[in-house]
Amino acid sequence: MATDFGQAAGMDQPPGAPTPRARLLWLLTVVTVMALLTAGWPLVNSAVSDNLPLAPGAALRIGPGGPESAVVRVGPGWSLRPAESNSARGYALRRGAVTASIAYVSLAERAQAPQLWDGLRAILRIRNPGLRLGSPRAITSRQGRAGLTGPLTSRGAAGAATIFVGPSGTFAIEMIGLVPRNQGGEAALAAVRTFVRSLVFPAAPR
Amino acid sequence: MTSAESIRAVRASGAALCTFGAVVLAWQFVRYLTVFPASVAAAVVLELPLLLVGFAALRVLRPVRMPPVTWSAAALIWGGTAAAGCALLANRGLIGLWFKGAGVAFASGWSDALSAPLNEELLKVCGVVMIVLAAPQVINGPLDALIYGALAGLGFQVTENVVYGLNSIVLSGATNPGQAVLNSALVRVGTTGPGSHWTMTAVAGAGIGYLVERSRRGGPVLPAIACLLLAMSMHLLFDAPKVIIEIKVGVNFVIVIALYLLLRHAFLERAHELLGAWTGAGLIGQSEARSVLSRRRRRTELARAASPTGRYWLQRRQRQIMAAIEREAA
Repeated sequence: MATDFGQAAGMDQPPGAPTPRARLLWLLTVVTVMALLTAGWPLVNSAVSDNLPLAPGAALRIGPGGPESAVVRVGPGWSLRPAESNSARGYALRRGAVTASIAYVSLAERAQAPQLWDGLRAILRIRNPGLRLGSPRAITSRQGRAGLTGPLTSRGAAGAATIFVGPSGTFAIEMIGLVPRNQGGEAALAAVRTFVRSLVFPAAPR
Repeated sequence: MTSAESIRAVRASGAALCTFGAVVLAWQFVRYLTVFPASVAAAVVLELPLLLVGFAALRVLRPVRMPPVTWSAAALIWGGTAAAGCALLANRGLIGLWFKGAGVAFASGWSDALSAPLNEELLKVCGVVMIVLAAPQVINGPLDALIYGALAGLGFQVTENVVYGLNSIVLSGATNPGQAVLNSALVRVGTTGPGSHWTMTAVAGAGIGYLVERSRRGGPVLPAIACLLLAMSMHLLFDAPKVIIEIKVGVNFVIVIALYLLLRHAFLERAHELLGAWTGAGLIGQSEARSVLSRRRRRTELARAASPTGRYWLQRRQRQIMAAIEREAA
């Protein structure tokens, strides 16, 4: 078969291939779409206030629900940062210069609970590398649940971290409160301690 | 500007966007590497089987011959870097807006399902558009574009699986990072993998193939829009709360397989018609028409060649015929 098939069929170039101008216009469209999504949403998001004032005594439920959940009650002056919050995973809170976070932690086995403190220290090295977590001591919530609490220090802030393991032993609540130095330290930390100790596990025996 | 220059501009832009996405991902997760190096390595290694098997399997799905490895890899890399990196920023912005605007209770359940389909499907399918622009001969119609879309989706899926594996360390309190990564990989590869990103972007990609077909032969733009909307709907279902995961995976898998089989059937039917016409016109021989659509028969024909030179010319001719079929039958 001597026929040059490509030539005979006249199909060496795809018909309707974009012209250079059309190709650049399509490229511009792709880059514009990507820029709009990648930069546009974060810009719009940053222009909208991330502050939702909470009523004194407001209850925040955290966790997937049912027995695998917990409730904290905040005192006066606290507000929620909705963009950093999720009712299943945790909340970010603010009270003036004081910041606090509440996180739900899921444990594959009950035996993992003793590793929570060291785990939190490792997580802080990722989330907030300048923050140092001290040694834990015992704390009891108003519900009577035993937990661990310890000091947090960094160059510009001080605070405390607290962990309570849920009644099933398969989840825990980790709370962090931070106060910038020279911002009325002890009084501000007292406000954090109030909501930390307010933690209630609805499934726990009363 | 010449055609070659415009193609070079597209390729350079594609490389720049992939680099940008990779830098965003590295910037977000570099600290995991210092704190949990073994778990990061495990998260990556656990995805290698999916990456390699998926890459090979998706390429084999293309009838007649596999797509070029360079452009297959380009689609995969786009999904895993440019699309995944940009999606990280885009989703954070849009999800934040949902939490602020619709409230924490609603957004905790629905923000992913209402953000990811829009952001991620557009970002992933942009990779298929980039390949159309960067390599004009490679995508000839919806079936080609479906394969490249699936590859871009697979790249995205692999990166997302690694990211979820790292996030699972934090969600489990870093009490057993290795186990958290392993559990995450098992769920995301074994359970959700068959109906995840590769299926959605395959469908969206097919839509780009319809646009290519339209530019060459005319036709409506509706199939392209329908494919993109279907891919977004599949994604919405996949991320929706309170739907059993097996249903989500099953629906997406069935949709992509049905679309693939329809397009494959149409392609092969047209290919057989073309071969019949070309045989009748004396452009190709009967034995060529019988063997050219089958990988095994082509290899058999090549093995029968009398000399290395004869094999070279036969292979060259097979490639010419295959290229013509791919262009015309697409």
